[in-house]
Formats: sequence, C-alpha cells, structure tokens
Amino acid sequence: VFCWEHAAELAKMKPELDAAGVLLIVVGVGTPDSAKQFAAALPFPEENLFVDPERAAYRALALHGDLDGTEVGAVQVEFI
Amino acid sequence: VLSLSGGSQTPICDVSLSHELLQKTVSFAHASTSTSSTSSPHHPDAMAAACVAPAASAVTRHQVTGLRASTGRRATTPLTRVIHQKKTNQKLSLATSATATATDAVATVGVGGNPLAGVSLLTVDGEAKAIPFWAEDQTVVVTFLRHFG
Repeated sequence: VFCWEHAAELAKMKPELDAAGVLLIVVGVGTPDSAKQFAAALPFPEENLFVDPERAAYRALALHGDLDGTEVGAVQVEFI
Repeated sequence: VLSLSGGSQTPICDVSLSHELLQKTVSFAHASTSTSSTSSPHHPDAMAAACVAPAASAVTRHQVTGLRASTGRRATTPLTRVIHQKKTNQKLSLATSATATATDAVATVGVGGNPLAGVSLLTVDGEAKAIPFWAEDQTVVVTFLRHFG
C-alpha cells in the first residue's frame, strides 16, 4: 500500500470519523508545498494534512527507523 | 519520571490492522459519547500508535485504555504502541465504562503522557501547530506517512 493509497482510504473514512467526532490528522515528511500538491492530487482535505519536516513526531514515536528503511524498534514509554 | 526501555525489533504492521483500529476508534468514539456520563471529567489521555506500511497511525483517547483493559485480548505481534497519560488511578473506572469493541491490535507498551506533546507540525500553508492543537477530550487519529507520494 502506497502512502497515497493509505491517505485516500482515510479520506474515504473522513465522513465517518467526522460523524464520530474523531479528528483525523495525517502527517508526512516533506515540505508544505509537497503536502499541498499531495492534497490536491488525491484529493485530500488540506486541513487534515500536516508536515513534519524534521521528523520530530516520528522520533517521538520511534517510527523514524522505518523511514530509514530499517525496522522499527519497540520502545516503552512510562511517565510516573 | 520518564522511563524509556525496549529495543526489540518490531515488524512493520499490516495496514489492514490500521484500518481495523480506525474502525474501532469510530465505534469507540460513538460508545464513549453514550457513556460519557460515567467517565471522569479528569480522565487520562491516551495514545495508540499503530505502525503500518507505509504509514503509521495513532489514536489519542483516554478510553482506549479502558477498551484495552476490558477485552484482555492481545495481538500476536506488537503492532501498536499505546501510551497512557497520567492519572492512572482512573483507569479502572474508564475500563468499566468502555463497551463493545476490542482493541486487540493494540499492544500496550507503557504508561505516560502524550509523547507528541510539544511537537510542532506545519500546515500545508506553512503555519506551525504545536501538539496538542485539539481539545483535551478530543479523539484524534494521527496517521504517519513516509512521504507525500
């Protein structure tokens, strides 16, 4: 499944998510311009599309390894 | 206190499970609306992040904790990260108020705050938005794409 396919599926689900009061946020690595083009091409609602150019969110969830082509390491986070 | 551990190699998840998780989130959001009177106004937040190929999804909602606890079923692989926020003493009451759907694709790996708190994202217009930019009790599904393509 390509990213655009996944996003397209989410776009289809958006009415259902909206009806359930669920906020959909799709984050991608790139630039605002590339995100805008992505939204226009699918189409995908721009208000639900966000850019993480520094991969900060990916790192926070330990997803960055996947982006580099390596396996994602499980991480355990605990706040006490 | 923030405790980080782990390091096991987690395979990339099946995208169908991500969709399943989304469906459960929708069902759960409906259920939580109907059971909101039994939930504490000071409920903990929670986040479930399902890594999928090529994207990863996360769900933030305190009742995910309850659903996870109420079903007792586990996925065969650690597909999802769930990070529960503070006020863990309220988990039990949330668990009893949760209904219906299972979050068996969710493998709880920790208890804590929103790991995305403070992370700044950009809108397509380049405007910075610091997480959380939604209401505390908002149910949020966050999906991560590898790239815009």
